[in-house]
Order: sequence, then structure tokens, then C-alpha cells
Amino acid sequence: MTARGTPSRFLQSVLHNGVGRYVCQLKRLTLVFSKDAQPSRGAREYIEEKVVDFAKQNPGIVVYISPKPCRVPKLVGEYLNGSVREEDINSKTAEEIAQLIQKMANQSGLDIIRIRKPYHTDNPSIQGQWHLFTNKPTSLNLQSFGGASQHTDSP
Amino acid sequence: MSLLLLGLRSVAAAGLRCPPVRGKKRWLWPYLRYLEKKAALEGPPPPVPRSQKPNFDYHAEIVAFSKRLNETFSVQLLKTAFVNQSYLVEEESRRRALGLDHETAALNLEDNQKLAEEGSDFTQSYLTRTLQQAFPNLPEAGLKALVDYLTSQQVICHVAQNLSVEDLTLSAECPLSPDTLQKTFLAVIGALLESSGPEKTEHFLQDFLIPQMIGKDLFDVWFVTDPMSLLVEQLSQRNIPLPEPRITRQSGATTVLPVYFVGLYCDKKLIAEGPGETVIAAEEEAARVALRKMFGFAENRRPWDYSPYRQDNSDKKAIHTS
Amino acid sequence: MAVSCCGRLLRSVRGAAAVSLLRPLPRCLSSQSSSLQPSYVPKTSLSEPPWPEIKLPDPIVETEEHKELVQKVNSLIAAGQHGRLFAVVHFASKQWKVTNEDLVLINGIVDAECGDRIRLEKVLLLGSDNFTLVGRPLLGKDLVRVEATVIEKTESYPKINMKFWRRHRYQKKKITIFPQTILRINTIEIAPALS
Repeated sequence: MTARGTPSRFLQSVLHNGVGRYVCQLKRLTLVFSKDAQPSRGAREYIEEKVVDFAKQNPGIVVYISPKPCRVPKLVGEYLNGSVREEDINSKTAEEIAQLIQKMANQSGLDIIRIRKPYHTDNPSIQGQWHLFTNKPTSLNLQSFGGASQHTDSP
Repeated sequence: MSLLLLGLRSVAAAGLRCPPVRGKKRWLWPYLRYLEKKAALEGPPPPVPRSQKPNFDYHAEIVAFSKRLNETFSVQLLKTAFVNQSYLVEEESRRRALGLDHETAALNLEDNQKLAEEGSDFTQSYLTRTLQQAFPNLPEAGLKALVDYLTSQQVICHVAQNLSVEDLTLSAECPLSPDTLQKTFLAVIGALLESSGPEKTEHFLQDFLIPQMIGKDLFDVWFVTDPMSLLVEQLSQRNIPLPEPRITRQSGATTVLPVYFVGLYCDKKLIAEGPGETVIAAEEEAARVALRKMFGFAENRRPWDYSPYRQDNSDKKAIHTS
Repeated sequence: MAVSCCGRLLRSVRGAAAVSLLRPLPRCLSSQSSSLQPSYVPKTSLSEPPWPEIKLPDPIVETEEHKELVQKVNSLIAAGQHGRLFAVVHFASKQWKVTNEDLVLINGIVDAECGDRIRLEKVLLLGSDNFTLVGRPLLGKDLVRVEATVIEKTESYPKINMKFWRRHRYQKKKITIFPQTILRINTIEIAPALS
């Protein structure tokens, strides 16, 4: 769709993330897969080989494994700002699932919609915001009535 | 409306299994309309805390909470910090209702009241001390207003919600009231204080509470009704002559949108200039600008130093444009 | 121009002195005009260029003023009396005007993990309330230090590129997703060393 037809937001971060310390925004990852079905094969391989390493490298993320009869294996990620993202890992290989999980761990929970501006500042002006009277000569202040000036000239 | 649009898929998602039959399912539309009417009558389902939804291991979540924030908490203290009075009362009554004996039903859990008080005291003292060092010219009323804003329910609840404190709190209410959330967060700070010591806790507060001041102006937080009288007071304290307001620029005086720039002159030197729609509003704004400059709270002041090994040098923090 | 014409005429006059006495002398040789009269141009809308005439300052005075200015700026920086600093930084083939505590979105991958601290080296301009340092084209690495943290490495929203011609049964659809990195600028520091 067009930019006007889809939602958009400004660039922001959750709780001023990089300013003080960096906090990984993903808090919980749930892997829903089936014990026997064919589409969950990649998920099962990932769990056998790579999930423990991932959990050790990211101690701030809690990883839950829930094997249950389901046709479509899913990855549910919960972020610190409360948003929940579900990803489909149907018939994906273990490497693809690993890449997907790494991508989710690097994201914050903000919506993936059009970002209006690629920058965000809280202090846009340091030398003073321009207004019409900036850099205008102060002789404009003077008003004379038959020779006598009313206002004093400011430096 | 969304149920009707999705049709058979919404029914399948809800769990209703219908055997596969060919043809138009004429029962579907009335069934979906009935479900929608029921939902409209009952309203949305009551909110359930995350701890009661599937896939939640409390101990693992607590450990992950401390690791995520890069802090070492003692697990026992942290668990105590999340326990609220209402939870204890509810648990007791539930156990009694289930018919358990009074001795076996005794909960070995402590309240977070003491930790919350410790955390609150420490936060107040730390914020007052740091802000005083950073803005030495700020009067007590302004300092108090800033500290009150940073420890207000609004700010603390915002910080707590975005740090997943809400998930870990044990309480009878759902959704959590802002009071409980604030108390729990302060209790967490108290727990951090007891586990890691005051330095680490100061660093934690510097990283999470002080950035809430970014982009905020002094007079958004401190409500001053008469800035001119405050300015006169401050100037008389510093033995500077009283300010004379003069119009420096003006435009459109006879139109619907006039603009006046009023400059305040002390001893014929310009201390501040402020714009406004009327001359009185411009004078007030000029007084506010002068106060901001004097208290060192202008927009282009030295930004806050968030480095972790910042020593307690007052000259490092107290530099701002005059 | 007038002087060179006189030169040519003078040479020809020496050759045929007797003949020139009968002809009237050219205006430039007449005894009355020793200096050329300034040509008077009446003031109209096109007599002068519309921009004000700039008089360049004396070079000696200029070097002295420059020395004074550099000393003043040096003392300001050494005393740490600048407020918030901003910088124009060249990164990812774009230039960004950047201060402390602000966010920048880069369309592309940055070779750093989330939470790493990065130094942005190509600084073109550094400014504060009272002074600005303009690089030619870059400022020295020992003068300015701009540090940033990688906060997030996401993907963009799915951008739809679609072509549709009505009544021709022609349509194409392509969905583009590219990686994005978000940087938080932490600090801009200035060293008290200017030449």
C-alpha cells in the first residue's frame, strides 16, 4: 500500500535504551513445535543442537520449549514494552531458525511499520532556533518622533 | 466485526472442530453473529496476569531479570521485593478456604514494605544530592519539584512497565494499580541496595531514572505562577539591580497574530529576551528565560554524563553556559 | 586603455611632426588634462550590482584577529565552558547533524553487535553555542570524539513495489525488506588542542 494507507510512527526507543546502559529488549522466547510432525523437523534439530548455546549467550532471555501436537510450529517472542511477536517456523532449517531467533533478539518490541524520519532528537536547536528577528540589525528597534529616539539600542 | 470477516477460520482458531463437508455452511453466519452479540454483552475478558498464563517459570524469570539489567541481586531479596501485602492476604485466605491446617498453611514469605521504604529513601536522597551537585543555582523549591517529578507515580510506573516488573509482581489485583507498581519498583531498588551496595544502586538510578528528564523543561515540571517575582527575588539575592523590561522586537501589532519580543535589562545589560503574543505574555516568557539561564537549566546546557566510572567531582558536573 | 592609445599616437607623431601640427591634438595629449577625469555614471537600477559591495579586510589585521579568535576559542574549550555540542558526521554515505542522546536510523548492516560502542570518525563540523569548528573537509581525530551505541538491528517494514496497468492484464508485485540499524549517539567530546 501507499505510505498514507499504512500506519507509521516516529523513530523512538523504549525507555531511552542506549543512553544509560543497553538492555536487551527480548524477555521471553517460546518455541511451540510438534514431537513427530514433518514441518517441525527444523525446530527439533535447532532444539537438539543450538538452543542451549543461545540461552547461555543471552542470560537475560528466558527460553521455553513446549512440545505439543500442532500443525504449524511457532516462535513467540515477548518484549519489554509488552508487545508479542509470533513467527512461523514451518519447514525451516535449523540455521534459518537460528538466524530468525538472533534477529528477534536484536529487535525491540516497537512496531515494524513505516518510520517517518530516520533520526530523532530531543534538542534540535543548540545555537537558538531561528526566528524572523535573528541576525536583523537592532536599529529596527529605534523609533524617532521628530528627532528624539524612544527606545534604547540593545547590544 | 473481525470474527465475521474471517469466517470459518475464526471458528477453527477458537477450537471448534467441524468435520469437513462440501457446500455452503449456512449455520456459520448466524453462529458468528451470536458470538459477537455475546462478546458485546459481556465485554472483553478480564485481564489475567502473565504468571497465570502458560509457560512461566518464576525462578528462571527472576534470574533473567537480574541478568538483563546487568546487576547482581540476591535471589531471596528480589523474590521478597516482588511480594505484596494483598498477595499474602489472598494466599492465606485461599489456603484457609482449601481447609489446610494453620501451621502447614503458614506462608514463609515476607512483605516488601521494608524494602520499599528503604528504596524510596535512598532514591530521594540520591536524586536530591545529584541534582543539587549538577544544578547548584537551583533553589530548593525547584529541586523539590524535579525530585518529586522523577519519583512520581507516572514516571516510576512507566519505567517499571518497560522493565517487566509488572510480570513478576505477586499481587491480588489484576491489572496492577499504579500504587502497587510504584511500591514494587521501589522495593526492587531497596533489594538492589542491600544486595550490591549503594554505588551500584546509584548507577542503576542514573541509568533509568535520570534519562526521564531528557527533553523536559524546568517549568514543565515546576509550576511557577509568577516568574517575574521569583526573578526579582533571585536577582536581589545576588545583588544585581532590578530588571527593566523593554520591547526589543515587535511585529503585527494590529493583526490577529502579533508577536512581541521583550528584553530584560539589568543595569543596561541584556539578561534575557522572550517572545509572546501580548506584551505581558512576552515579559513573563522573558522572565522564564532569565530564570532558566540563571539556574543553569537552559536547553543548550552541558548534557548529563552517564559514564559508569564518573567520580564525585563537583566541577565536572556543574559546568553549564552562563 | 587611454594611455596605450597615446603611446601609439606619440610614436606616429614623432615620425611626421610637421603634418600633426595642422591636425588638432588628441584629447589625451592636451595640456589641460594631466590626470584622467573620473567617469560619472548616473545611479539607475542597473548601474551597480544588486549585492552590497564587500570590502575585504587588511590581511595583517585579519591574521591578528584570527589569532585572537583562536586563542579565545581555545581558552573556552580548555576551561570546559561550552554547553551542549553538536556535530555533522558522515556515516553510511550520508551526513547527519547529531547531538548527545539522539537516535539515528541507518538502512544497512553495521558490523557490530547490539550494545557495542562505536566511534564515528568522519566529523565535518563541530558546533556549540558560542563557537563552531569547520573541518576542511574533516576535523582531526585527536580533536573530536563522537561515540555511539548500537541499540537495535531490525528489518524495515515490507515496502511494496507494484505495477498495474488497467485493462492490460499486467501487474507485478515485489516486496522489499532490508536490514536497519539504530544508533544512539552517546557523547561528543572535544579535546583542548587547536592550532
